[in-house]
Amino acid sequence: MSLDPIQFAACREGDEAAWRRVVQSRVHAVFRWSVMLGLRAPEAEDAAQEVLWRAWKQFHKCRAPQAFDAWLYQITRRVVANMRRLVWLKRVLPTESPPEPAFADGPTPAIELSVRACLGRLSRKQAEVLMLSDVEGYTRDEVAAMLGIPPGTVASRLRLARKAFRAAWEQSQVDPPRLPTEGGTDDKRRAGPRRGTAPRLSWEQS
Amino acid sequence: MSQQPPNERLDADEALAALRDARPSDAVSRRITERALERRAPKRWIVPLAGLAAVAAALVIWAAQPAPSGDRVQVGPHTVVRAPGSEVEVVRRSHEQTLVRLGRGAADFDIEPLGAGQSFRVRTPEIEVEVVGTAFRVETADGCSTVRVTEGRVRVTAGRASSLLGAGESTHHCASAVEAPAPGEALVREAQRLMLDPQRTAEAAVLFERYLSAHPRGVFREEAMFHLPFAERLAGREAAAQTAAVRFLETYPDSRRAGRMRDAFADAP
Repeated sequence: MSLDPIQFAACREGDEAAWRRVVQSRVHAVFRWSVMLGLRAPEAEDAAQEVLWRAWKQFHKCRAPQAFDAWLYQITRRVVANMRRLVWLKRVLPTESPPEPAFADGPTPAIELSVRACLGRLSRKQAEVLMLSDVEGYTRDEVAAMLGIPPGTVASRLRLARKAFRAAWEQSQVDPPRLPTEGGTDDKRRAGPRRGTAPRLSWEQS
Repeated sequence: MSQQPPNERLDADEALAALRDARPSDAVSRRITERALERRAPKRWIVPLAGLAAVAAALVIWAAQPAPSGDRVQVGPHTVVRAPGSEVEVVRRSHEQTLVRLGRGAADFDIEPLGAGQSFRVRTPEIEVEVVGTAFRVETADGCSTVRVTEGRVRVTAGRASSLLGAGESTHHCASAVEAPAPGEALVREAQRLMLDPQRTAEAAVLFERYLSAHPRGVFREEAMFHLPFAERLAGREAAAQTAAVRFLETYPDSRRAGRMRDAFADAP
């Protein structure tokens, strides 16, 4: 997937309407990447908006329309890594609830949570290459460009990742992940009093 | 918390593929989009009132303009409005050269004045249009391309033939055409086409005038001079219409159309 060249040129020149269309076309992918890289839905929502904001701010750094998705993914990786560092304390609090489904349109919540849990058992490198290849459908060369590694490394890493994921998946069928009892999606949870009452993260205050 | 087994039995590969195209709710997508876009908006409280007034005035002026029917995009300082379903691609973009390919459909180009050594070109399968700071429209369909210039000048090249088009002029070129149209023919044809639209008769009059000044000895001179008074009248400019009618009758007193002109303009000699 690459960006339409005329949209790319327009964004390079600061055309906000063109950028809005780009955001609308990529928002689902960035959110999905963030979730698959280990964030929960509210964190992924924050991450996605941070990624897209940074992308606009740094658009001049994107080399070519063909490189846009790889470049956007690199930003997502950095933002997600930063967020994971910031949310680790929250994760270990005893009040932390189990993960909830992040997607309103996709597989059943049980399958989604199982996949996410299984990806979480893989190393970060393996999870990334598996997600980009087998979920997002990028080719080996595209994944290599997105991760900045040789295609041969992608192939070997993918082979190991698939093997590890299958093992984790078989295990998850025996011991499935917990689902929240009230079944509310993260979207419903966020629609409550969180907005405006939760402390703002440091990067939201700029 | 309850323990729920997955409600479908999938293998690992199917489970991964099931997440392809998974998406958050529309509300979440909207929030992400709006927040990502809002964060780069200027701080409203530092915008002076005068600025707001200017923006409001600009909006009023903008609202009065006919909205473009296609996508408006910026290519450098230039604006391209792509008609729905058209295929437009920026092939080359540098400080000196911009090359846009129009593969299908139509696009309007509003080009800022170019500096020395700079060029903006539009290529269709049939022709190439080179710009020198102008506004124009290019259409391509069924092996034919049409260029209409609104402002400035463009150079149109079809094969080895090259011609300059000025404001109000247009040209039509088909890859299989044996003969090129007579100079200015497209201009007159376009003006006649505009005459059929009651809202655009003023434009038709401008095109007829443009033809007459660009081709004072052109083969369509009588045609243009005959239609011009009617175009002016339909545009509500009766005085100009009378003047044009007089000019036609003085130039072509023996034309078979002279009687019709006298009937239509009783004040003319």
